[in-house]
Amino acid sequence: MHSGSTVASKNLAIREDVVRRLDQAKRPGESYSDVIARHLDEKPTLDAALAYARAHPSTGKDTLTPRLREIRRQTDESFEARRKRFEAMP
Amino acid sequence: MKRCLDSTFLSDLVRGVPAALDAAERWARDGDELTITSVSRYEVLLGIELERSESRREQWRAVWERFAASLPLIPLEGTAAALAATRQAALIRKGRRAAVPDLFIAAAAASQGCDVVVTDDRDDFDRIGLVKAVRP
Repeated sequence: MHSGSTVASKNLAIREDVVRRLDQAKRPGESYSDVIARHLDEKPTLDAALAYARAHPSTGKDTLTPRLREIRRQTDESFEARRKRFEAMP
Repeated sequence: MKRCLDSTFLSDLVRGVPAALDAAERWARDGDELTITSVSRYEVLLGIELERSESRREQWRAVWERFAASLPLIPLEGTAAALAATRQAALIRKGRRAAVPDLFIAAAAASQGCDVVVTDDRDDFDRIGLVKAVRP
């Protein structure tokens, strides 16, 4: 815990969406500094990622997978168009 | 076993699909090494960033950051690039050109000793033939 310490402080500009995430990550009695420090100290693990994903399932229609397929298709088209241009060069 | 997770499977993880989470958990428990390529890292993050719903985008980003930070990354380095080029040339000669992202993933996975690519698009990877493809 860092709250209550006498270390110097600085004002930071934080995006609203990040503030919302900090609020969600705060444990009882934690300050924003505590949350940030805790996350910096934590080594990300697959177990933690899986637990987080399990606790935050997506609802509604799957829009991500079709988009990933489209991204892949467009990336391939872009590469292929370039290859054809090279092939057509004398 | 060393598994390379393709983007469609990563999509399932990001969306919290129980079957995908269970499979990843089981593989990790069995001592398998789970990895991702830089191609999938690009695709998944782009897919998330293009999501129109802000709340969903934030939710997926928060989940993805955790997976991206915890899964070892396989880059597309020199050996993989050369492997991809020679295999693509052979496929083009046969009139069976591979989709470039699939090819890059297969070559990166093969160059780093992955045993399998976990994907919903098994046929595409089978055609490339550099690494065995399995469905989740």
